[in-house]
Amino acid sequence: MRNVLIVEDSRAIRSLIRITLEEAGDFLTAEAANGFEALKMLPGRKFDLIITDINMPDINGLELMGFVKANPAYQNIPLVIVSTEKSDEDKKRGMAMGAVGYIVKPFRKEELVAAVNRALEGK
Amino acid sequence: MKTDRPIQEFLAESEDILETATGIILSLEDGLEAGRTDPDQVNALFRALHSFKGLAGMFGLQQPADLAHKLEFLLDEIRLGKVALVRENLNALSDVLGTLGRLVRQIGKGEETEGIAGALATLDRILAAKPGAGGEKSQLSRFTIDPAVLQVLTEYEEHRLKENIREGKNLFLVRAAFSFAEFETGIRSLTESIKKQGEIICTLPTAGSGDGIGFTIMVGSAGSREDLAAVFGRPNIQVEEVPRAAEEPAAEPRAETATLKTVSNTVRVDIHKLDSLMSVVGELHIVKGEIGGIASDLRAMQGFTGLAVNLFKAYKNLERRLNEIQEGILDVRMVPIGQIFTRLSTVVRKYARDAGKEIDLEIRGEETELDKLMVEDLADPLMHLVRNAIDHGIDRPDVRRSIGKPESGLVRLTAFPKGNHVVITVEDDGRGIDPDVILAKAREKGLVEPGDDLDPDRDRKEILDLIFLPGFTTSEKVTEISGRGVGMDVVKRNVSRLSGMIDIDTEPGEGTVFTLTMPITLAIIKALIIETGGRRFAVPLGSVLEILRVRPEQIETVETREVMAIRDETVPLLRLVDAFGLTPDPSKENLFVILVGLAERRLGIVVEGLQGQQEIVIKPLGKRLADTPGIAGATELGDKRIVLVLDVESLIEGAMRKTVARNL
Repeated sequence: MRNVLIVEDSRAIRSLIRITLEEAGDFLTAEAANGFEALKMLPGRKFDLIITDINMPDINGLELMGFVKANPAYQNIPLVIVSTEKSDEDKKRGMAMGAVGYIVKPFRKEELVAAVNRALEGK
Repeated sequence: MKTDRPIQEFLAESEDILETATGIILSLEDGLEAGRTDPDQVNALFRALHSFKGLAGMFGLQQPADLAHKLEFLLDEIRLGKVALVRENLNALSDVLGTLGRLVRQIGKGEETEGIAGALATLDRILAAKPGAGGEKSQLSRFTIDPAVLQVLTEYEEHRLKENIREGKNLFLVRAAFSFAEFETGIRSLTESIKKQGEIICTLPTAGSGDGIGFTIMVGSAGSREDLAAVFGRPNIQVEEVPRAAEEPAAEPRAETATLKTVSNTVRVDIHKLDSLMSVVGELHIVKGEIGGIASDLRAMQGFTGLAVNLFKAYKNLERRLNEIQEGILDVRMVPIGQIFTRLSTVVRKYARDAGKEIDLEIRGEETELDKLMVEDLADPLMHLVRNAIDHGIDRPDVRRSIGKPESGLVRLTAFPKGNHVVITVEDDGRGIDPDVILAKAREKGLVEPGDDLDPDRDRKEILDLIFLPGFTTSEKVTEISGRGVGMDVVKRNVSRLSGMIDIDTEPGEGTVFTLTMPITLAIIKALIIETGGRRFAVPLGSVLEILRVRPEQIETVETREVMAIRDETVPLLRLVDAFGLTPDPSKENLFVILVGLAERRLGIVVEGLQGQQEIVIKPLGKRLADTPGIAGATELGDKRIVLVLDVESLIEGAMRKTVARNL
């Protein structure tokens, strides 16, 4: 069973990611609607992977990644970014900060599952 | 992707997004008239379209996705300062949003969708007309900014940072730490305060010590470090100015224009004038409710087009302005509770001297704000609690010395905000109250029924609560300080009248704490409108903890009382139809439990339906009905119908009484 934290402000997209992962394999997902919720969920469970959007209110995905990477308890959790093709510059920054995958919205199920599996194997 | 359920989610979410976007365009229009553009709003609009595009794309809806994509691209150019936001462009944005709204509606109804070529062409024209990108150069080098901060900025945040620098603003890093359980409310109220003084460029969470979490917020502001620090009014927040890089020529010392303005800008206002303004706002809320009703009816008939959109816009506009007025008035009414704390401290000395006792008064949280009238009306109950502490709680210095306590007794007044309530505690380190003594007194005075089986250990709370009954007073002799005849029942009644709650906790030999939980204001409140037995009621949202949909079989009966397990707690239930002698509607298969709570007490109110949420102004009931238990007042809803407002505290109280009665 792999624990995956999904951070995304659209409820519909969040549930699509959850359903896709649950259909694809042995995943247990937790959903956060924004960065604050994600911060609150981190200590509660041991996550094997974090999937995060970049453009979110309050704190953005990069800021969340900065927190994760600076915290010894979480810094080894692989991060996958789910964002849009417009955010080229943001993609570069995310990868520079240590994201192991980048999925462009809209994505196909297979792309998501492949990126997630790659991220988990590379651990 | 494949089932119908997500498409419904798509429709619901995209309608929400388009409503938000329409609201933002309206504010931007207002801003433009006033000659300013709020970057937060442009960014919010960008984010809304960004979400919409992602959503439409995921559901394979090509046309809305394409149109949103182009719109998002344009908005990104606008928020990055590459395309100017002028009225003409705003109008075009508004038109394109209208097209998106129609597309969503057509998809929802399964109709053929209209073409988007016209809308795309409009957006292209704006993009084609953009001026050459202005050079931003290396603005960032003018400041010495921590690379760890720069690294996590999105492109947009970096643009805002450069803009702030270009406009000659000062940069600050605000650092604050919060406990893990409360950081979200903490950081939100902090960002609200900061926005009064500057623009928030980014918010970085940082690991805190223990179970805490720290945040570093970068702020651009024209003001000084002191101006910024002044808006927090809290000590545990550090503000540090980001140093300008060395080659930056020292800023010209600005002429001190403020020195001539020695006269204070303050106006004193009679609180009753504010009250009458507030009641006008209340009436306007009712009118707003009516307009909202018409707008949604029209929308149901016409969809998100034409007149329906215009009315909706006007409605949103009205709502926003109204909220501004209301917040403004509420803000003026707020005063720090320190005002009465200070008043109390001057009389404490006198009481102490008269009673031959030594008292140290400790005050915490005096900056906590409350409605002015609330503060005034709390003065008496607090005065009484402090008198009691000095008179009955704290022993004379010689007695204290003999039992190993410091000669000076401690009275501590504390206030802190908790959600939309303020908690005030009055604490002493005196002799405490012995439940055995209270029980004996209550039996002697016939305040409990003969033959009760109350047990000081098991029923501690119920027994302590007996001191709030009329006719109860434990002091053997009447003193000048505590006076005669004014007991804890009066304190409780005063607190209840302000929709507050009082709790007592005491440890014999250690001391006593009285805890008052008060709403921040009584002027205007958010309420949940519920329906049961064919009637509607309003429940103040401040006391609603949770709403649950239940099936009748989830309700259990334990010793004739209905209860329900909510997580690990067994919560007593109260059917509103029973409380007010109404006839239940047998056709309702599902019931709703409104879980309410004040201080530590919980009650589930069982109702048949929910009608939504609304701002209400509580009007007192006429004399004849004034003392009806369970009813705090009445209010008028948008459709001109009067509904009764539930008095949550007395309902909880009543339910608790029944529990005690069972024990008797």
